[in-house]
Amino acid sequence: MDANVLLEINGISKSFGAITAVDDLTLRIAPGEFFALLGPSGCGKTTLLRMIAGFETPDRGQIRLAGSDMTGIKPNRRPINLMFQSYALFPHMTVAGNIGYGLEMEGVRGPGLKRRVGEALELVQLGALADRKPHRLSGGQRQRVALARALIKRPKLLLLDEPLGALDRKLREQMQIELKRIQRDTGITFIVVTHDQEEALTMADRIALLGQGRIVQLGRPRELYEAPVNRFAADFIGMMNFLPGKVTADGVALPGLGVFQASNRSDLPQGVEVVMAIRPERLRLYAEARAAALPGAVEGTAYLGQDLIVHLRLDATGQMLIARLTAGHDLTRDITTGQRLWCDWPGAQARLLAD
Amino acid sequence: MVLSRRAVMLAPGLGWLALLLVIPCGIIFVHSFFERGIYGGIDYVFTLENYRRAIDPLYLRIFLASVRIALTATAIALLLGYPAAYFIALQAKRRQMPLLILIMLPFWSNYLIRTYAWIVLLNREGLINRGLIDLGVIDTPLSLLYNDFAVITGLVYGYVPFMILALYSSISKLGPDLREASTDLGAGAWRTFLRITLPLTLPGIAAGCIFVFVLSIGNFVTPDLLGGKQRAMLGNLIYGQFLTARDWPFGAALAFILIAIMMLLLSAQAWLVNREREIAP
Repeated sequence: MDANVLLEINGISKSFGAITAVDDLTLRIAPGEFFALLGPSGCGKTTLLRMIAGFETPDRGQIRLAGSDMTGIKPNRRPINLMFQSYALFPHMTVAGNIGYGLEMEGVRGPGLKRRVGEALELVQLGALADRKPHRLSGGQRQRVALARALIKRPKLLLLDEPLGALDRKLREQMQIELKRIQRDTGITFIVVTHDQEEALTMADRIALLGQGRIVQLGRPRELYEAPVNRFAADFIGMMNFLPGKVTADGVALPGLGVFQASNRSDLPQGVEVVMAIRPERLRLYAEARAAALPGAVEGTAYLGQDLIVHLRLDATGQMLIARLTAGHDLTRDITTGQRLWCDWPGAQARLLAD
Repeated sequence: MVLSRRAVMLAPGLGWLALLLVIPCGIIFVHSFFERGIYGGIDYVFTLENYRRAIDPLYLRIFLASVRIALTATAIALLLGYPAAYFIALQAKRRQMPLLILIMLPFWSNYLIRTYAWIVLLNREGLINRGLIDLGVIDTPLSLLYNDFAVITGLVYGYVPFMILALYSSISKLGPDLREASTDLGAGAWRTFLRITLPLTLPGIAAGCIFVFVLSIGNFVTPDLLGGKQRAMLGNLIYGQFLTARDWPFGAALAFILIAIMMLLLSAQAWLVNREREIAP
C-alpha cells in the first residue's frame, strides 16, 4: 500500500437503466487532502460520492480505502462518514443526541460520550445549543450540527454532499473558510461534492471536474482556472470568451479579426481548428482607437460593486465579448450603452482549446 | 372581506355537518337524560338513571369485552400493517400508487358482503376447514366461526387498510436520508429501525391505531354476523337497545358514552398530527 494514497478508485462504472452515471473513473486521493468533485448536475459526482460511502454498488471497478477493498462492505462498517446535502438531522433528538449518535453506535456511553460530544460542539462553536431540537435551529446551525455529527467518529474520510448549498451567500463564504479551518485542525481527508465552482476554487487543494461520468480535468484550482483543457472546462469554471479560429505559421487567425498570439500556440500543429479562450478580466478596454485594438459597441453593463461587466459587440464580426473591469478602472464611471470602445488582450493571456 | 369569503366557502360543509351530525348527536345526548316510556317511547322526565345503569357490571363486562376485542384487532392490524406500509413507502414513487389502490380495492365492495364472505371461509364446511382436512392437517373441523377469533379476524380484515394508509403517510414522509444517515453513523438495519424509523413514525402508528380502535369498538355488523349473539359488543348492545329492547334513552346514554370515547381518541389523534407537523422541518 502506498502511504500517499488514502482512497483509490479503480475504473468504477455505474449505470441506472440506460443512463451511465459514472463511466470507468479512476482517481487517487492523498491523506489529509481537501478534495472537490465539481461538475454540473447529472455529471455523476453524487453517484460517485454515494459509491464511496457504500450506498451504491459500482457495476464495475473497485474502491480501496487505506489499502483495503471496500467491495461488499456495508456503509455502517466503513470508516467513512457522509454529511448529507439535506443534513438529515434526526428531528426527534437534540443537537447533542444527534452528534453523539455515531459514538453511541460504537458503544461509547456515559462521561466518555459526553466529553466527546462536548468537544465536537466546541469544534463547530455550538456549545450553547446542545439541548435544542433541530427544528429550532437556523440553517447555518443545522449545517454545523450535521458537520459535527459526521466528524465525531473521526472517520478516515469525510464526504460532504453540497455542504453549503442551502446557505445564503454571506454565510456560505464564512463557512468556506470555517470548513477549511476544521479540515486543517482535524487532519481528516475531505471530499466535497459541489456544483459551485467558486466553492471548489476557494476550499479545495485539488479539484476533479466531472462531466458525463468522467473526469474532464484534475488539478489544483489555479490550473483549472488558468489552463482549462477544453471548452467544457473553460466554460464551467469562471466566465470565458470564446473566439473560433485556425492555427497558422505566425499565430492564430481569427476570421474577420486578424492574427493573434496565444500562450500555448506552439503545442498545436498548424492548420488545426481551435477556439481561443480569454477570461473577461484579461480583456482591456480603451475609450479611443489604438493600434491592433478591436472596435465595438457597448451593448450593456452590469454593476457588481467591486467589478463592472461590459458586453461589447465587435464591429467586424458581430461577436460578443464580455469584459470585467475592476472598480478602479478609469472607464467604469462613464460607460454607457451604445458607446464605442476598443479592446485588446495580451497574447500570453489567451489560451487555445482544441475542442 | 377575506373572512367573509372564507365563511361563504365553509358554510355548506359546516351546515351539512351541523344538520346531519351535530344536531342528531345533540338529540341523542338530550334523550339520554330522559326516562323510557312504558311502551318504548320517551317520557320527558329528567334522570341520570341511564348513565348509572351503563356502569352496571352486566354492561361493564360487555364494554370491557369490546375494548379487549378492539385492542386485539388494533394490535394485529398494526403488526400486519406496518411491514406492508413500510414496503410500499420504500418502492419507487410510480409503483406506490398502484399498491395503495390495491390496498383500498376491498372498499369497492360492500362491507356487509365482505363480512358474509368470511362466514363462507370460516364455517365448519368452509374453505379453510375443507382445505386443512384435505391436506390431512386436521381430522375434525376447527371452530373458527361464532367466536372472538372470527370477530377479530373480521375486524382486522376490514380495517387493516386504514392502518396501512395512516402508516404509509407517516413512513413515506420520512424519506431515505434519515435512514441512510443512521446507517452511515454505524447503525445496522434493526437499530436504525428502533432508533430512527419507529420513533419518527409514532404519530402514524397512533393515528392508525386510533382509526382501527374507534372503528372496531363501534362496529356491530361483524360481531353480529361472525360472533354470534352471545358475543355482543358495545355496538350490538346499543343496536339492541334501540331496535329490540326499545329503550331509547338507555341506548342513547350508551351511544353517547361511545361517542365521547371516540371524540377523546380522535382529538388525541388530531393533536398528535398537529404536533408532528410542527416538528417536521
